[in-house]
Amino acid sequence: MRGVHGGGRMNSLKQLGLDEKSAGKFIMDNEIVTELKVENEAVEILPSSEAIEKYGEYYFKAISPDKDKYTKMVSDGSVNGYFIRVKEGHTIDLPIQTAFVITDDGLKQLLHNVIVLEKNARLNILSGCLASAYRDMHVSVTEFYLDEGSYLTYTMIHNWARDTEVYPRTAAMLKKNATFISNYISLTRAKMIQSSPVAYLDENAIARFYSILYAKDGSKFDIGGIAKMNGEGSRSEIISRVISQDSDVVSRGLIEGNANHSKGHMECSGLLLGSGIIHTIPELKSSVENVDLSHEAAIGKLAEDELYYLMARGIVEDEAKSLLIRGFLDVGIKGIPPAIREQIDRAIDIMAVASF
Amino acid sequence: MLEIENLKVVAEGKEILKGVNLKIKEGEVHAIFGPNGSGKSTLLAAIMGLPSYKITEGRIIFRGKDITGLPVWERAKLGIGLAFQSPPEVSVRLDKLLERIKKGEIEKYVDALNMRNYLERNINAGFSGGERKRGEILQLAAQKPDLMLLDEPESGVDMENIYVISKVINELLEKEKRIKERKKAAIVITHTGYILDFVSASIAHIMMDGKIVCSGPPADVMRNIKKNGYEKCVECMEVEE
Repeated sequence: MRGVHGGGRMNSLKQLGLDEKSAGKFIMDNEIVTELKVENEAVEILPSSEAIEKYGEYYFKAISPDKDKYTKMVSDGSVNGYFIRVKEGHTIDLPIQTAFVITDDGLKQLLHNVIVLEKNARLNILSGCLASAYRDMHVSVTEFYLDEGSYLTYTMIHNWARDTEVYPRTAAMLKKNATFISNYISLTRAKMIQSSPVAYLDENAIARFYSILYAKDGSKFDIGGIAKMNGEGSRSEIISRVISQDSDVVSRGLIEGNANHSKGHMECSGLLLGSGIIHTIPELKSSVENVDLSHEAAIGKLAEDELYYLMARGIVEDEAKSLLIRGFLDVGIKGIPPAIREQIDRAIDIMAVASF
Repeated sequence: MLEIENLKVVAEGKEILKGVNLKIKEGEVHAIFGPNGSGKSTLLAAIMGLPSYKITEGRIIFRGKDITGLPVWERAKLGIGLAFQSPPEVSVRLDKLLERIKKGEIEKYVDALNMRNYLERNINAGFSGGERKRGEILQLAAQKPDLMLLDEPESGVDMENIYVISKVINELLEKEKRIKERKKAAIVITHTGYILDFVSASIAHIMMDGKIVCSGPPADVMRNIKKNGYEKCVECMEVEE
Protein backbone atom coordinates (compact mmCIF):
# COMPACT_ATOMS: atom_id res chain seq x y z
CA MET A 1 0.00 0.00 0.00
CA ARG A 2 2.97 2.36 -0.14
CA GLY A 3 3.30 4.77 -2.98
CA VAL A 4 -0.08 6.42 -3.09
CA HIS A 5 1.70 9.53 -4.34
CA GLY A 6 1.20 10.38 -8.01
CA GLY A 7 -0.67 7.87 -10.15
CA GLY A 8 -1.14 5.37 -7.35
CA ARG A 9 -2.73 8.01 -5.18
CA MET A 10 -5.08 9.05 -7.96
CA ASN A 11 -6.14 5.45 -8.51
CA SER A 12 -6.70 4.96 -4.82
CA LEU A 13 -8.77 8.13 -4.54
CA LYS A 14 -10.68 6.95 -7.59
CA GLN A 15 -11.28 3.67 -5.86
CA LEU A 16 -12.81 5.66 -3.02
CA GLY A 17 -15.14 7.32 -5.51
CA LEU A 18 -13.47 10.72 -5.35
CA ASP A 19 -13.16 11.23 -9.09
CA GLU A 20 -16.88 11.69 -9.58
CA LYS A 21 -18.83 14.93 -9.98
CA SER A 22 -19.48 16.65 -6.70
CA ALA A 23 -21.11 19.63 -5.04
CA GLY A 24 -17.92 20.26 -3.16
CA LYS A 25 -14.62 18.73 -2.18
CA PHE A 26 -12.34 18.72 0.80
CA ILE A 27 -9.10 16.77 0.65
CA MET A 28 -6.44 16.76 3.31
CA ASP A 29 -3.03 15.18 2.85
CA ASN A 30 -1.40 14.44 6.17
CA GLU A 31 -1.97 17.81 7.91
CA ILE A 32 -2.38 20.05 4.87
CA VAL A 33 -5.62 20.90 3.06
CA THR A 34 -4.77 20.20 -0.60
CA GLU A 35 -8.18 20.73 -2.13
CA LEU A 36 -11.18 22.75 -1.05
CA LYS A 37 -13.85 23.42 -3.61
CA VAL A 38 -17.48 24.46 -3.33
CA GLU A 39 -19.72 24.14 -6.37
CA ASN A 40 -23.09 25.00 -4.88
CA GLU A 41 -24.11 28.28 -3.33
CA ALA A 42 -26.21 26.63 -0.67
CA VAL A 43 -23.13 24.82 0.65
CA GLU A 44 -20.42 26.23 2.83
CA ILE A 45 -17.17 24.34 3.36
CA LEU A 46 -14.39 25.70 5.55
CA PRO A 47 -11.30 24.24 7.16
CA SER A 48 -12.08 23.77 10.84
CA SER A 49 -9.18 26.09 11.70
CA GLU A 50 -11.28 28.95 10.23
CA ALA A 51 -14.72 27.65 11.14
CA ILE A 52 -13.91 27.40 14.82
CA GLU A 53 -13.84 31.23 14.90
CA LYS A 54 -17.06 31.69 12.96
CA TYR A 55 -19.03 28.66 14.15
CA GLY A 56 -17.40 27.93 17.50
CA GLU A 57 -20.77 27.03 19.03
CA TYR A 58 -20.76 23.73 17.17
CA TYR A 59 -17.36 22.54 18.34
CA PHE A 60 -17.33 20.05 21.23
CA LYS A 61 -21.02 20.53 21.84
CA ALA A 62 -22.24 17.00 21.00
CA ILE A 63 -19.05 15.37 22.27
CA SER A 64 -17.11 16.35 25.35
CA PRO A 65 -13.38 16.96 24.92
CA ASP A 66 -12.93 14.92 28.09
CA LYS A 67 -14.79 11.85 26.77
CA ASP A 68 -11.57 9.86 26.45
CA LYS A 69 -7.90 10.25 25.67
CA TYR A 70 -8.57 10.50 21.92
CA THR A 71 -11.05 13.37 22.19
CA LYS A 72 -8.49 14.96 24.49
CA MET A 73 -5.78 14.55 21.85
CA VAL A 74 -7.99 16.35 19.34
CA SER A 75 -8.90 19.16 21.72
CA ASP A 76 -5.26 19.64 22.71
CA GLY A 77 -3.96 19.55 19.16
CA SER A 78 -4.10 22.16 16.42
CA VAL A 79 -7.48 22.28 14.69
CA ASN A 80 -7.68 20.36 11.41
CA GLY A 81 -10.60 18.92 9.50
CA TYR A 82 -13.62 20.45 7.83
CA PHE A 83 -16.80 22.34 8.53
CA ILE A 84 -19.71 21.75 6.14
CA ARG A 85 -23.00 23.60 6.26
CA VAL A 86 -26.06 23.38 4.03
CA LYS A 87 -28.47 26.28 4.13
CA GLU A 88 -32.07 25.92 5.11
CA GLY A 89 -34.40 24.23 2.66
CA HIS A 90 -31.76 23.30 0.09
CA THR A 91 -31.42 19.86 -1.42
CA ILE A 92 -27.92 19.20 -2.69
CA ASP A 93 -28.11 16.50 -5.34
CA LEU A 94 -24.46 15.80 -6.04
CA PRO A 95 -22.51 14.47 -3.08
CA ILE A 96 -19.84 16.37 -1.22
CA GLN A 97 -16.61 14.44 -1.26
CA THR A 98 -14.06 14.49 1.49
CA ALA A 99 -10.81 12.59 1.86
CA PHE A 100 -8.10 12.25 4.43
CA VAL A 101 -4.85 10.84 3.19
CA ILE A 102 -1.94 9.74 5.36
CA THR A 103 1.43 9.18 3.73
CA ASP A 104 3.82 10.30 6.49
CA ASP A 105 5.14 7.51 8.69
CA GLY A 106 4.34 7.92 12.35
CA LEU A 107 1.84 10.74 11.71
CA LYS A 108 -0.94 11.33 14.17
CA GLN A 109 -3.65 12.86 12.01
CA LEU A 110 -5.93 14.74 14.42
CA LEU A 111 -9.20 16.02 13.00
CA HIS A 112 -12.27 17.83 14.10
CA ASN A 113 -15.14 17.79 11.60
CA VAL A 114 -18.51 19.47 11.92
CA ILE A 115 -21.48 19.00 9.62
CA VAL A 116 -24.50 21.27 9.96
CA LEU A 117 -27.71 20.80 8.04
CA GLU A 118 -30.17 23.59 8.54
CA LYS A 119 -33.93 23.01 8.49
CA ASN A 120 -35.13 20.76 5.67
CA ALA A 121 -31.70 20.67 4.00
CA ARG A 122 -30.64 17.46 2.27
CA LEU A 123 -27.09 16.31 1.62
CA ASN A 124 -25.00 13.26 0.76
CA ILE A 125 -21.39 13.07 1.87
CA LEU A 126 -18.92 10.55 0.53
CA SER A 127 -15.88 10.38 2.73
CA GLY A 128 -12.75 8.45 1.87
CA CYS A 129 -9.78 7.75 4.06
CA LEU A 130 -6.59 6.40 2.68
CA ALA A 131 -3.37 5.54 4.42
CA SER A 132 -0.06 4.24 3.17
CA ALA A 133 2.26 4.93 6.06
CA TYR A 134 3.73 3.05 9.00
CA ARG A 135 2.81 3.51 12.66
CA ASP A 136 0.27 6.12 11.65
CA MET A 137 -2.81 7.13 13.54
CA HIS A 138 -6.09 8.76 12.52
CA VAL A 139 -8.01 10.36 15.38
CA SER A 140 -11.12 12.31 14.61
CA VAL A 141 -13.98 14.01 16.34
CA THR A 142 -16.98 14.42 14.08
CA GLU A 143 -20.15 16.22 15.11
CA PHE A 144 -23.36 16.29 13.12
CA TYR A 145 -26.11 18.83 13.74
CA LEU A 146 -29.22 17.95 11.79
CA ASP A 147 -31.96 20.49 12.19
CA GLU A 148 -35.66 19.78 11.79
CA GLY A 149 -36.61 17.82 8.70
CA SER A 150 -33.06 17.61 7.37
CA TYR A 151 -31.69 14.48 5.68
CA LEU A 152 -28.06 13.40 5.58
CA THR A 153 -26.41 10.31 4.19
CA TYR A 154 -22.81 9.97 5.27
CA THR A 155 -20.85 7.21 3.55
CA MET A 156 -17.33 6.40 4.63
CA ILE A 157 -15.25 4.10 2.45
CA HIS A 158 -11.94 3.53 4.11
CA ASN A 159 -8.71 2.05 2.97
CA TRP A 160 -6.24 1.96 5.82
CA ALA A 161 -2.65 0.80 5.83
CA ARG A 162 -1.57 -2.35 7.68
CA ASP A 163 -0.27 -0.39 10.55
CA THR A 164 -2.91 2.32 10.95
CA GLU A 165 -4.72 2.91 14.21
CA VAL A 166 -8.07 4.60 13.81
CA TYR A 167 -10.08 6.25 16.56
CA PRO A 168 -13.11 8.17 15.27
CA ARG A 169 -15.38 9.75 17.87
CA THR A 170 -18.70 10.64 16.36
CA ALA A 171 -21.97 12.10 17.59
CA ALA A 172 -25.06 13.21 15.73
CA MET A 173 -27.83 15.41 17.12
CA LEU A 174 -31.07 14.87 15.24
CA LYS A 175 -33.88 17.33 15.68
CA LYS A 176 -37.52 16.59 14.94
CA ASN A 177 -38.07 14.67 11.67
CA ALA A 178 -34.37 14.63 10.80
CA THR A 179 -32.82 11.57 9.14
CA PHE A 180 -29.24 10.39 9.45
CA ILE A 181 -27.96 7.45 7.43
CA SER A 182 -24.41 6.46 8.23
CA ASN A 183 -22.59 3.87 6.13
CA TYR A 184 -19.18 2.66 7.22
CA ILE A 185 -17.24 0.46 4.83
CA SER A 186 -13.76 -0.71 5.77
CA LEU A 187 -12.37 -3.62 3.81
CA THR A 188 -8.64 -3.65 4.39
CA ARG A 189 -6.41 -4.58 7.27
CA ALA A 190 -5.90 -1.98 9.95
CA LYS A 191 -3.98 -2.43 13.15
CA MET A 192 -6.87 -1.09 15.19
CA ILE A 193 -10.20 0.57 14.49
CA GLN A 194 -12.30 1.60 17.43
CA SER A 195 -15.50 3.46 16.70
CA SER A 196 -18.94 3.75 18.16
CA PRO A 197 -20.90 6.70 16.78
CA VAL A 198 -23.80 7.99 18.86
CA ALA A 199 -27.02 9.45 17.53
CA TYR A 200 -29.44 11.42 19.74
CA LEU A 201 -32.91 11.41 18.27
CA ASP A 202 -35.68 13.91 18.86
CA GLU A 203 -39.29 13.40 17.89
CA ASN A 204 -39.84 11.31 14.75
CA ALA A 205 -36.16 11.41 13.84
CA ILE A 206 -34.59 8.45 12.06
CA ALA A 207 -31.03 7.11 12.42
CA ARG A 208 -29.65 4.17 10.49
CA PHE A 209 -26.15 2.82 10.92
CA TYR A 210 -24.83 0.33 8.39
CA SER A 211 -21.38 -1.19 8.76
CA ILE A 212 -19.68 -3.39 6.22
CA LEU A 213 -16.39 -4.58 7.63
CA TYR A 214 -13.77 -6.99 6.45
CA ALA A 215 -11.12 -7.43 9.11
CA LYS A 216 -8.21 -9.41 7.78
CA ASP A 217 -4.72 -10.48 8.57
CA GLY A 218 -4.56 -9.76 12.29
CA SER A 219 -6.72 -6.64 12.36
CA LYS A 220 -8.40 -5.56 15.54
CA PHE A 221 -11.79 -3.87 15.13
CA ASP A 222 -14.14 -2.72 17.83
CA ILE A 223 -17.04 -1.15 16.04
CA GLY A 224 -20.58 -0.34 16.94
CA GLY A 225 -23.32 2.22 16.97
CA ILE A 226 -25.48 3.80 19.61
CA ALA A 227 -28.94 5.23 19.05
CA LYS A 228 -30.60 7.13 21.87
CA MET A 229 -34.21 7.58 20.94
CA ASN A 230 -35.25 10.45 23.15
CA GLY A 231 -38.17 11.76 21.09
CA GLU A 232 -41.55 10.17 20.58
CA GLY A 233 -41.91 8.20 17.38
CA SER A 234 -38.18 8.16 16.65
CA ARG A 235 -36.75 5.17 14.83
CA SER A 236 -33.33 3.59 14.55
CA GLU A 237 -31.61 0.72 12.86
CA ILE A 238 -28.11 -0.64 13.41
CA ILE A 239 -27.08 -3.22 10.84
CA SER A 240 -23.66 -4.77 10.42
CA ARG A 241 -22.01 -7.35 8.22
CA VAL A 242 -18.65 -8.33 9.60
CA ILE A 243 -16.04 -10.70 8.23
CA SER A 244 -13.17 -11.70 10.44
CA GLN A 245 -10.31 -13.43 8.69
CA ASP A 246 -7.59 -14.24 11.21
CA SER A 247 -8.67 -11.08 13.01
CA ASP A 248 -10.34 -10.00 16.21
CA VAL A 249 -13.64 -8.17 15.85
CA VAL A 250 -16.03 -6.86 18.44
CA SER A 251 -19.30 -5.77 16.87
CA ARG A 252 -21.51 -3.90 19.27
CA GLY A 253 -24.65 -1.88 19.23
CA LEU A 254 -26.91 -0.17 21.72
CA ILE A 255 -30.40 1.07 21.09
CA GLU A 256 -32.13 3.02 23.82
CA GLY A 257 -35.84 3.63 23.75
CA ASN A 258 -36.44 6.61 26.03
CA ALA A 259 -39.67 7.88 24.52
CA ASN A 260 -42.99 6.31 23.69
CA HIS A 261 -43.62 4.91 20.23
CA SER A 262 -39.94 4.72 19.44
CA LYS A 263 -38.82 1.74 17.42
CA GLY A 264 -35.37 0.22 17.03
CA HIS A 265 -33.89 -2.81 15.33
CA MET A 266 -30.39 -4.21 15.35
CA GLU A 267 -28.86 -6.89 13.17
CA CYS A 268 -25.29 -8.18 13.53
CA SER A 269 -24.18 -10.86 11.06
CA GLY A 270 -20.68 -12.26 11.29
CA LEU A 271 -18.73 -14.50 8.97
CA LEU A 272 -15.62 -16.22 10.24
CA LEU A 273 -12.78 -17.13 7.93
CA GLY A 274 -9.66 -18.83 9.20
CA SER A 275 -8.90 -18.40 12.86
CA GLY A 276 -10.78 -15.18 13.47
CA ILE A 277 -12.84 -14.07 16.43
CA ILE A 278 -16.15 -12.25 16.27
CA HIS A 279 -17.80 -11.08 19.45
CA THR A 280 -21.20 -9.49 18.96
CA ILE A 281 -22.68 -7.43 21.76
CA PRO A 282 -26.15 -6.22 20.84
CA GLU A 283 -27.79 -4.24 23.63
CA LEU A 284 -31.31 -2.94 23.99
CA LYS A 285 -32.39 -0.59 26.74
CA SER A 286 -35.77 0.85 27.42
CA SER A 287 -36.89 3.36 30.03
CA VAL A 288 -40.52 3.73 28.95
CA GLU A 289 -43.30 1.28 28.37
CA ASN A 290 -44.38 1.82 24.83
CA VAL A 291 -41.33 0.99 22.71
CA ASP A 292 -40.53 -1.65 20.14
CA LEU A 293 -36.95 -2.88 20.24
CA SER A 294 -35.47 -5.99 18.67
CA HIS A 295 -32.15 -7.49 17.71
CA GLU A 296 -30.80 -10.50 15.90
CA ALA A 297 -27.25 -11.71 15.77
CA ALA A 298 -25.70 -14.60 13.90
CA ILE A 299 -22.16 -15.82 13.33
CA GLY A 300 -21.27 -18.51 10.85
CA LYS A 301 -18.69 -19.71 8.38
CA LEU A 302 -18.93 -20.12 4.62
CA ALA A 303 -21.51 -22.85 4.08
CA GLU A 304 -20.14 -25.85 2.21
CA ASP A 305 -23.40 -26.65 0.49
CA GLU A 306 -23.53 -23.12 -0.92
CA LEU A 307 -19.92 -23.38 -2.03
CA TYR A 308 -20.45 -26.68 -3.84
CA TYR A 309 -23.67 -25.45 -5.35
CA LEU A 310 -21.74 -22.65 -7.05
CA MET A 311 -18.89 -24.96 -7.99
CA ALA A 312 -21.41 -27.30 -9.64
CA ARG A 313 -22.15 -24.38 -11.96
CA GLY A 314 -18.55 -24.45 -13.15
CA ILE A 315 -17.11 -21.83 -10.79
CA VAL A 316 -13.72 -22.60 -9.25
CA GLU A 317 -13.48 -22.74 -5.48
CA ASP A 318 -11.79 -19.39 -4.84
CA GLU A 319 -14.20 -17.53 -7.06
CA ALA A 320 -17.15 -19.28 -5.45
CA LYS A 321 -15.85 -18.12 -2.07
CA SER A 322 -15.53 -14.52 -3.17
CA LEU A 323 -19.04 -14.62 -4.67
CA LEU A 324 -20.38 -15.78 -1.31
CA ILE A 325 -18.41 -13.13 0.55
CA ARG A 326 -19.70 -10.52 -1.87
CA GLY A 327 -23.22 -11.76 -1.25
CA PHE A 328 -22.76 -11.76 2.51
CA LEU A 329 -21.64 -8.14 2.53
CA ASP A 330 -24.58 -7.03 0.42
CA VAL A 331 -26.60 -5.48 3.21
CA GLY A 332 -29.11 -3.68 1.01
CA ILE A 333 -28.61 -0.16 2.34
CA LYS A 334 -31.77 1.88 2.04
CA GLY A 335 -32.18 5.59 1.48
CA ILE A 336 -28.96 6.41 -0.38
CA PRO A 337 -28.68 7.80 -3.91
CA PRO A 338 -27.81 5.31 -6.70
CA ALA A 339 -24.42 6.96 -7.34
CA ILE A 340 -23.32 6.31 -3.75
CA ARG A 341 -24.69 2.80 -3.85
CA GLU A 342 -22.54 2.22 -6.93
CA GLN A 343 -19.47 3.47 -5.07
CA ILE A 344 -20.15 1.08 -2.21
CA ASP A 345 -20.76 -1.80 -4.62
CA ARG A 346 -17.58 -0.96 -6.47
CA ALA A 347 -15.51 -0.95 -3.29
CA ILE A 348 -16.94 -4.31 -2.26
CA ASP A 349 -16.45 -5.78 -5.74
CA ILE A 350 -12.80 -4.76 -5.80
CA MET A 351 -12.31 -6.28 -2.36
CA ALA A 352 -14.14 -9.50 -3.17
CA VAL A 353 -12.09 -10.07 -6.32
CA ALA A 354 -8.88 -9.44 -4.41
CA SER A 355 -9.77 -11.55 -1.41
CA PHE A 356 -8.75 -14.96 -2.75
CA MET B 1 -21.41 -39.56 -24.21
CA LEU B 2 -21.34 -41.05 -20.72
CA GLU B 3 -20.08 -44.44 -19.61
CA ILE B 4 -20.24 -45.57 -16.03
CA GLU B 5 -18.43 -48.75 -15.12
CA ASN B 6 -18.97 -50.64 -11.91
CA LEU B 7 -19.39 -47.47 -9.87
CA LYS B 8 -19.24 -47.84 -6.11
CA VAL B 9 -19.87 -44.81 -3.93
CA VAL B 10 -19.73 -44.24 -0.20
CA ALA B 11 -21.56 -41.40 1.53
CA GLU B 12 -21.36 -40.71 5.26
CA GLY B 13 -19.47 -43.96 5.75
CA LYS B 14 -22.10 -46.08 4.07
CA GLU B 15 -21.88 -47.75 0.68
CA ILE B 16 -24.77 -46.36 -1.37
CA LEU B 17 -23.87 -47.36 -4.92
CA LYS B 18 -22.79 -50.96 -5.20
CA GLY B 19 -21.62 -51.31 -8.78
CA VAL B 20 -23.62 -49.22 -11.25
CA ASN B 21 -23.16 -49.64 -14.99
CA LEU B 22 -24.76 -47.19 -17.40
CA LYS B 23 -24.17 -46.01 -20.96
CA ILE B 24 -25.76 -42.90 -22.40
CA LYS B 25 -25.50 -41.79 -26.00
CA GLU B 26 -26.08 -38.34 -27.50
CA GLY B 27 -29.75 -37.58 -27.92
CA GLU B 28 -30.87 -40.04 -25.24
CA VAL B 29 -32.95 -39.36 -22.16
CA HIS B 30 -32.68 -41.95 -19.40
CA ALA B 31 -35.32 -42.08 -16.71
CA ILE B 32 -34.45 -43.63 -13.35
CA PHE B 33 -37.07 -45.00 -11.00
CA GLY B 34 -36.56 -46.61 -7.65
CA PRO B 35 -37.60 -46.52 -4.03
CA ASN B 36 -36.31 -43.88 -1.60
CA GLY B 37 -32.75 -44.58 -0.55
CA SER B 38 -31.98 -46.79 -3.53
CA GLY B 39 -29.15 -44.49 -4.65
CA LYS B 40 -30.69 -42.47 -7.48
CA SER B 41 -29.63 -39.04 -6.22
CA THR B 42 -26.25 -40.42 -5.17
CA LEU B 43 -25.68 -41.54 -8.74
CA LEU B 44 -26.29 -38.02 -10.07
CA ALA B 45 -24.17 -36.47 -7.30
CA ALA B 46 -21.32 -38.86 -8.09
CA ILE B 47 -21.48 -38.05 -11.81
CA MET B 48 -21.44 -34.34 -10.94
CA GLY B 49 -18.60 -34.89 -8.45
CA LEU B 50 -20.13 -33.44 -5.29
CA PRO B 51 -17.52 -33.98 -2.59
CA SER B 52 -19.59 -35.73 0.08
CA TYR B 53 -19.81 -38.71 -2.25
CA LYS B 54 -16.62 -40.78 -2.36
CA ILE B 55 -16.04 -43.02 -5.34
CA THR B 56 -14.37 -46.18 -4.05
CA GLU B 57 -14.42 -48.22 -7.23
CA GLY B 58 -15.26 -47.91 -10.88
CA ARG B 59 -14.94 -45.18 -13.49
CA ILE B 60 -16.95 -42.40 -15.05
CA ILE B 61 -16.07 -41.61 -18.66
CA PHE B 62 -17.56 -38.46 -20.20
CA ARG B 63 -17.02 -37.77 -23.88
CA GLY B 64 -14.11 -40.22 -23.88
CA LYS B 65 -12.38 -38.64 -20.88
CA ASP B 66 -12.03 -40.29 -17.48
CA ILE B 67 -13.55 -37.72 -15.12
CA THR B 68 -13.64 -39.96 -12.02
CA GLY B 69 -11.06 -37.85 -10.17
CA LEU B 70 -11.99 -34.42 -11.50
CA PRO B 71 -13.32 -31.69 -9.21
CA VAL B 72 -16.91 -30.59 -9.57
CA TRP B 73 -16.27 -27.31 -11.41
CA GLU B 74 -14.16 -29.03 -14.07
CA ARG B 75 -16.96 -31.49 -14.75
CA ALA B 76 -19.36 -28.57 -15.06
CA LYS B 77 -17.02 -26.87 -17.49
CA LEU B 78 -16.81 -30.06 -19.55
CA GLY B 79 -20.57 -29.91 -20.00
CA ILE B 80 -22.31 -31.67 -17.12
CA GLY B 81 -25.10 -29.79 -15.38
CA LEU B 82 -27.11 -30.77 -12.31
CA ALA B 83 -30.56 -29.54 -11.33
CA PHE B 84 -30.52 -30.16 -7.58
CA GLN B 85 -33.40 -31.96 -5.94
CA SER B 86 -33.31 -29.67 -2.88
CA PRO B 87 -31.08 -26.73 -3.72
CA PRO B 88 -29.81 -24.69 -0.76
CA GLU B 89 -30.36 -20.99 -0.20
CA VAL B 90 -27.24 -19.27 -1.48
CA SER B 91 -26.17 -15.76 -0.49
CA VAL B 92 -25.54 -14.72 -4.08
CA ARG B 93 -28.05 -12.90 -6.22
CA LEU B 94 -29.55 -15.04 -8.95
CA ASP B 95 -28.81 -12.49 -11.68
CA LYS B 96 -25.17 -12.26 -10.59
CA LEU B 97 -24.72 -16.00 -10.85
CA LEU B 98 -26.49 -16.18 -14.21
CA GLU B 99 -24.36 -13.34 -15.51
CA ARG B 100 -21.27 -15.26 -14.44
CA ILE B 101 -22.20 -18.67 -15.90
CA LYS B 102 -24.32 -17.88 -18.92
CA LYS B 103 -23.33 -19.03 -22.37
CA GLY B 104 -25.30 -16.90 -24.77
CA GLU B 105 -28.73 -15.39 -24.42
CA ILE B 106 -30.95 -16.48 -21.53
CA GLU B 107 -33.52 -13.68 -21.44
CA LYS B 108 -36.16 -15.80 -23.17
CA TYR B 109 -35.74 -18.52 -20.56
CA VAL B 110 -36.12 -15.99 -17.73
CA ASP B 111 -39.52 -15.14 -19.17
CA ALA B 112 -40.44 -18.69 -20.17
CA LEU B 113 -39.82 -19.84 -16.59
CA ASN B 114 -41.48 -16.79 -15.00
CA MET B 115 -38.33 -15.93 -13.09
CA ARG B 116 -37.97 -12.22 -13.83
CA ASN B 117 -39.12 -11.18 -10.36
CA TYR B 118 -36.57 -13.45 -8.72
CA LEU B 119 -33.45 -12.22 -10.48
CA GLU B 120 -32.50 -9.61 -7.90
CA ARG B 121 -33.04 -11.93 -4.99
CA ASN B 122 -30.52 -14.26 -3.45
CA ILE B 123 -30.69 -17.71 -4.99
CA ASN B 124 -33.60 -19.66 -3.47
CA ALA B 125 -34.00 -17.20 -0.59
CA GLY B 126 -37.65 -17.52 0.36
CA PHE B 127 -38.43 -19.39 -2.89
CA SER B 128 -41.24 -21.95 -2.84
CA GLY B 129 -40.51 -25.52 -3.95
CA GLY B 130 -41.72 -24.82 -7.47
CA GLU B 131 -39.75 -21.56 -7.72
CA ARG B 132 -36.59 -23.39 -6.71
CA LYS B 133 -37.13 -25.97 -9.44
CA ARG B 134 -37.71 -23.28 -12.05
CA GLY B 135 -34.57 -21.55 -10.79
CA GLU B 136 -32.60 -24.77 -11.24
CA ILE B 137 -33.78 -25.16 -14.84
CA LEU B 138 -32.98 -21.50 -15.51
CA GLN B 139 -29.44 -22.05 -14.30
CA LEU B 140 -29.12 -25.10 -16.53
CA ALA B 141 -30.40 -23.01 -19.43
CA ALA B 142 -27.58 -20.58 -18.69
CA GLN B 143 -24.99 -23.37 -18.49
CA LYS B 144 -26.20 -25.17 -21.62
CA PRO B 145 -24.72 -28.50 -20.54
CA ASP B 146 -24.34 -31.46 -22.89
CA LEU B 147 -25.48 -33.83 -20.17
CA MET B 148 -28.28 -32.70 -17.88
CA LEU B 149 -28.77 -34.43 -14.57
CA LEU B 150 -32.32 -33.74 -13.44
CA ASP B 151 -33.05 -34.82 -9.89
CA GLU B 152 -36.83 -34.97 -9.54
CA PRO B 153 -37.41 -31.79 -11.53
CA GLU B 154 -41.18 -31.99 -11.08
CA SER B 155 -41.48 -32.67 -7.36
CA GLY B 156 -43.37 -29.87 -5.61
CA VAL B 157 -44.25 -28.27 -8.95
CA ASP B 158 -47.87 -27.81 -10.05
CA MET B 159 -49.06 -29.27 -13.36
CA GLU B 160 -48.94 -25.97 -15.21
CA ASN B 161 -45.35 -25.40 -14.21
CA ILE B 162 -44.32 -28.98 -14.97
CA TYR B 163 -45.35 -28.15 -18.51
CA VAL B 164 -43.37 -24.87 -18.40
CA ILE B 165 -40.26 -26.61 -17.08
CA SER B 166 -40.61 -29.47 -19.58
CA LYS B 167 -40.80 -27.11 -22.51
CA VAL B 168 -37.47 -25.55 -21.54
CA ILE B 169 -35.89 -28.94 -20.87
CA ASN B 170 -36.98 -30.12 -24.32
CA GLU B 171 -35.44 -27.05 -25.88
CA LEU B 172 -32.18 -27.62 -24.04
CA LEU B 173 -32.25 -31.23 -25.22
CA GLU B 174 -32.66 -30.04 -28.83
CA LYS B 175 -35.84 -32.09 -29.08
CA GLU B 176 -36.87 -30.06 -32.12
CA LYS B 177 -34.03 -31.69 -34.04
CA ARG B 178 -34.13 -35.18 -35.45
CA ILE B 179 -32.89 -37.81 -33.03
CA LYS B 180 -29.66 -38.40 -34.91
CA GLU B 181 -28.79 -34.70 -34.90
CA ARG B 182 -29.24 -34.19 -31.16
CA LYS B 183 -26.01 -33.69 -29.24
CA LYS B 184 -27.48 -33.40 -25.76
CA ALA B 185 -28.57 -36.02 -23.28
CA ALA B 186 -30.17 -36.24 -19.85
CA ILE B 187 -30.73 -38.47 -16.86
CA VAL B 188 -34.05 -37.80 -15.14
CA ILE B 189 -34.93 -39.08 -11.71
CA THR B 190 -38.64 -39.16 -11.22
CA HIS B 191 -40.97 -40.61 -8.62
CA THR B 192 -44.22 -39.81 -10.28
CA GLY B 193 -43.23 -40.10 -13.92
CA TYR B 194 -45.32 -36.97 -14.68
CA ILE B 195 -42.38 -35.25 -16.29
CA LEU B 196 -42.16 -38.09 -18.83
CA ASP B 197 -45.56 -37.09 -20.17
CA PHE B 198 -43.83 -34.01 -21.56
CA VAL B 199 -40.15 -34.99 -21.84
CA SER B 200 -40.04 -38.29 -23.64
CA ALA B 201 -37.44 -40.73 -22.33
CA SER B 202 -35.55 -43.21 -24.49
CA ILE B 203 -35.18 -45.80 -21.77
CA ALA B 204 -36.09 -46.26 -18.11
CA HIS B 205 -34.10 -47.98 -15.38
CA ILE B 206 -35.04 -49.22 -11.95
CA MET B 207 -32.54 -48.79 -9.14
CA MET B 208 -32.74 -50.98 -6.07
CA ASP B 209 -30.25 -51.05 -3.24
CA GLY B 210 -27.46 -49.27 -5.11
CA LYS B 211 -27.73 -51.07 -8.42
CA ILE B 212 -29.58 -50.71 -11.68
CA VAL B 213 -31.60 -53.89 -11.60
CA CYS B 214 -33.57 -53.61 -14.78
CA SER B 215 -34.14 -51.44 -17.81
CA GLY B 216 -36.72 -51.17 -20.52
CA PRO B 217 -39.06 -48.94 -22.51
CA PRO B 218 -40.27 -46.18 -20.16
CA ALA B 219 -43.97 -46.83 -20.69
CA ASP B 220 -43.60 -50.54 -19.91
CA VAL B 221 -41.44 -49.92 -16.85
CA MET B 222 -43.90 -47.37 -15.49
CA ARG B 223 -46.89 -49.58 -16.13
CA ASN B 224 -45.17 -52.46 -14.38
CA ILE B 225 -44.19 -50.37 -11.35
CA LYS B 226 -47.74 -49.08 -11.01
CA LYS B 227 -49.19 -52.55 -11.31
CA ASN B 228 -46.73 -54.62 -9.32
CA GLY B 229 -44.52 -52.28 -7.27
CA TYR B 230 -40.74 -52.07 -7.63
CA GLU B 231 -39.90 -55.59 -6.35
CA LYS B 232 -42.26 -57.49 -8.60
CA CYS B 233 -41.59 -55.17 -11.49
CA VAL B 234 -37.97 -56.18 -11.52
CA GLU B 235 -38.91 -59.83 -11.90
CA CYS B 236 -40.87 -59.24 -15.06
CA MET B 237 -38.47 -56.87 -16.78
CA GLU B 238 -35.44 -57.99 -18.64
CA VAL B 239 -32.38 -57.54 -16.45
CA GLU B 240 -29.67 -55.48 -18.06
CA GLU B 241 -26.20 -56.95 -17.97
